[in-house]
Amino acid sequence: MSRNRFTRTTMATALAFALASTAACAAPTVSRLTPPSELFATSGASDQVIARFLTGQRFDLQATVRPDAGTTIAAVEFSVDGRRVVAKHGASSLVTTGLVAGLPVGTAVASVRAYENSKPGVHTLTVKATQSDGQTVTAAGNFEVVGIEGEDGRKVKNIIILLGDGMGAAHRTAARIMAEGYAQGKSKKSLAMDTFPVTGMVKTSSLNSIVTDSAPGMSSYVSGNKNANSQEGVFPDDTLDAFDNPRIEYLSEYLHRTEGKALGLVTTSDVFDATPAANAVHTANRGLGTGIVDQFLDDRHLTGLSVLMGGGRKWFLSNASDTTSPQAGNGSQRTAGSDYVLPADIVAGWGAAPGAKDPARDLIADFQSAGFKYAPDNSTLQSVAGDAHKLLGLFAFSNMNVSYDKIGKRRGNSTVVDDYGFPDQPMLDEMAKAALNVLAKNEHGFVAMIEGASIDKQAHLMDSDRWVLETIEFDRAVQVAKDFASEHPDTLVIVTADHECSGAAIIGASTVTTDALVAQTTGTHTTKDQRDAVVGTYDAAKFPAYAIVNDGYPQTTDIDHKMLIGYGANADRYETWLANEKPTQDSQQPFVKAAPLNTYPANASVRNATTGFLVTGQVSGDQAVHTASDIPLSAYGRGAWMFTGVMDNTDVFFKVMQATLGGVQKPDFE
Amino acid sequence: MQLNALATLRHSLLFALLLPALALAHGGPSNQVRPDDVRASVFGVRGELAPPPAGVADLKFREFFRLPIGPRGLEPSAKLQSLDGKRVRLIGYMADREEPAAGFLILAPLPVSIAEVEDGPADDMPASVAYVHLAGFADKTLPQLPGLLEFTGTLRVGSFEEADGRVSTVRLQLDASASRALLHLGEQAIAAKH
Repeated sequence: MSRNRFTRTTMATALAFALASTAACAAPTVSRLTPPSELFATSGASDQVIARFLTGQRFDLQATVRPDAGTTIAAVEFSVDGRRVVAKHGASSLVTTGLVAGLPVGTAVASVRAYENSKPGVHTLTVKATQSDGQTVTAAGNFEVVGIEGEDGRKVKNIIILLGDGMGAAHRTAARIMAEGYAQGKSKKSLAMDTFPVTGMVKTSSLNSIVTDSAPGMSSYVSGNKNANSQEGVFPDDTLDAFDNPRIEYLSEYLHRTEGKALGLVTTSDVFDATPAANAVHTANRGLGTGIVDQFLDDRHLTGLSVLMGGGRKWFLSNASDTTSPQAGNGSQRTAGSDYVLPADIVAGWGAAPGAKDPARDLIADFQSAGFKYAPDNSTLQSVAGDAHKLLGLFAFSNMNVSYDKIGKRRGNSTVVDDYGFPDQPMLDEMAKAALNVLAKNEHGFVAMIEGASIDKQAHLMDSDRWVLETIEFDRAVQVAKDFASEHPDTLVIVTADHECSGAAIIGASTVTTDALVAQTTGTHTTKDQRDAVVGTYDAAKFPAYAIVNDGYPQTTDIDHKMLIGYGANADRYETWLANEKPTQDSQQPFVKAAPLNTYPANASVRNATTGFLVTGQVSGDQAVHTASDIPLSAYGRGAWMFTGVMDNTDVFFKVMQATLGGVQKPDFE
Repeated sequence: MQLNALATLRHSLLFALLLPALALAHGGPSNQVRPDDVRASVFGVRGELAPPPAGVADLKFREFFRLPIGPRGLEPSAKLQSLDGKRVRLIGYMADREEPAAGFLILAPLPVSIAEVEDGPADDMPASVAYVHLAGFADKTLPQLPGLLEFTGTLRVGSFEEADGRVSTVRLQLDASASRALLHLGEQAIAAKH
């Protein structure tokens, strides 16, 4: 039976038809019923796909009801399995203004906030709406509640999710080839993530596309539900407000509420970015930075947030002028337009902070008042992490610099991080170590999400040398987590990705020396010279051998006969096969337009335009794109065995929760 | 950035279509001083820059803020603060604004184009820009001056509410003769269209 624990049980289709068909003869119509279900979407024709929630996991019920012309919607009520849902005081609403364009006059969006159901099995959700002329409409959908089995197994106390953004199988392989080396057809050593005893394969599609972006890519793991692209922790709705969407309780929120666990978010990107935010903040627009970072702090009583580390200082600085063009004198990116105010029913239902449009807020000071130690650089991080119980680290204005450039600075042969104005940024493994040290002080355990964010960002830019090093940096953080779990055996460590990025593939290796590659970048250079004479496939690729120095990174990525990367989801780029001395511009940096950053290559379609050969892209724009390819997931520590096989990304949530709340049970592979 | 570029393109097309009716009424892209005229003026940068005259200090945009960047964000550099109230020369590009305000221009370290109506407060302009103010002529809107420009005036460092509702950190106040010359250059461009 335990094999079927996470698969939903079949529902009687006859019942579905009976419930859905009543909608056809009524005058008003229900155009959306949330949680989404195939039962509602197909008017009862199919019930194959269904939203699943953990027993007791909170989520919002919502319906969009369109009235006849000249009438309004007078009342909307929800029932589950025929029993009327009574909202907590103040936790329901009927919204008729601020809706998306194209809806009939009088359209109403009805919500019941923070509903929960603890009875495992499939439940029928019915909405009945009454129009001002007395006509009614009824529509039905369904959802499943997944139970927790057993209370006697060994339980997971600490959960560490290491998220290599955009890291597909090729990114892992390339990092292994570069960092560990191959001989006689075998890798000489293993990446830390290769040593994990269990590996599975994950399906990553989002609610509205086979190809996900990073927001639903992450939130699927930690909410158990599919979200639409660019949305995190919410279902789509028909209102314009991006902070009022129907919510799904996150892993962090559930485990803080029921177990008192702390949350730590560590990333090499801007902390407002989709992956960290999709663990703690509910929004339909992943770009609303001011509101996102404010809610990290304001709703820490819901999430247990104790560690927040990455880039993104620009969102935390007071901006009294509320403009970002030009940016404020301190570089602040805060604006009222990207800030949040929550409707009263969400505040009442979820106990969330109401929020305020306050671009002048000094969020660093507010974090400090709340007991967070603030580290603006690596030196401070190392000095405060030991004593801190809460930690805020903001090491760059937007995304942090990548390991290629951070290591270059530490070795004294690159000034990129100086040009960015942040010479002392930590590596991800240093951040991970500090974060776990702080989080381990919570006696009830913790949830940590540690992200190698720029594997994705550099793959988008098709900067092969940089994303391979990002993967190596990420693997060093994996080792930190593995070491922690070895010392704390009640810890589960998962290494995964939100999606694959760029269709990266190791196509072979250069058949020429670096000097020859450099020589080809001057004078007349043709595709014949730079491709046909260089790209060694099959036998000609041999085993590229990189020299790894004490800091754990290759002495240079420009070795003779270096590994070559191709892209299956590429935009136009010029290829020299050589490392770029300067990273490609990151448009989210406040000073990208000011000297010296404006001398950096603007994008891959102009980078090396005078030195490389043109590789024509299969997608438009100037960045490679995410793909729908499955990604590998590896697990270590308590409960690791549960993560084998091919699984949906939402399955991971239920497996983690089973191991944490019910305990790990013996494998049943028969 | 792509959105901005598209918006600007759309506006350029719009202006091209409405040109006969709007050429005088609006200071948009159609109302631009010819590059040769700018280069020939005292504001154009031609070839190698001569050293500044006595009593005038050169200030670069990259020297506005202290590096490395401080834990609480950007802070004005010692050089910027020391030049407050002094005669300073700045080299940069005039921000191309969809709705230019009267009496000043924004000087930026590189050519930027701002489609304010389409995109709202886009983040295309860096923090290190200077508001170059004319002496008098607060009602005069300048046409777009293409290319690299040099301005000499009195530097002001602080927090200034500008007429366009923004708050600036660095101002360069032109004297009366420079203001007249700048205005004359703009009027030449408008006259040349007739």
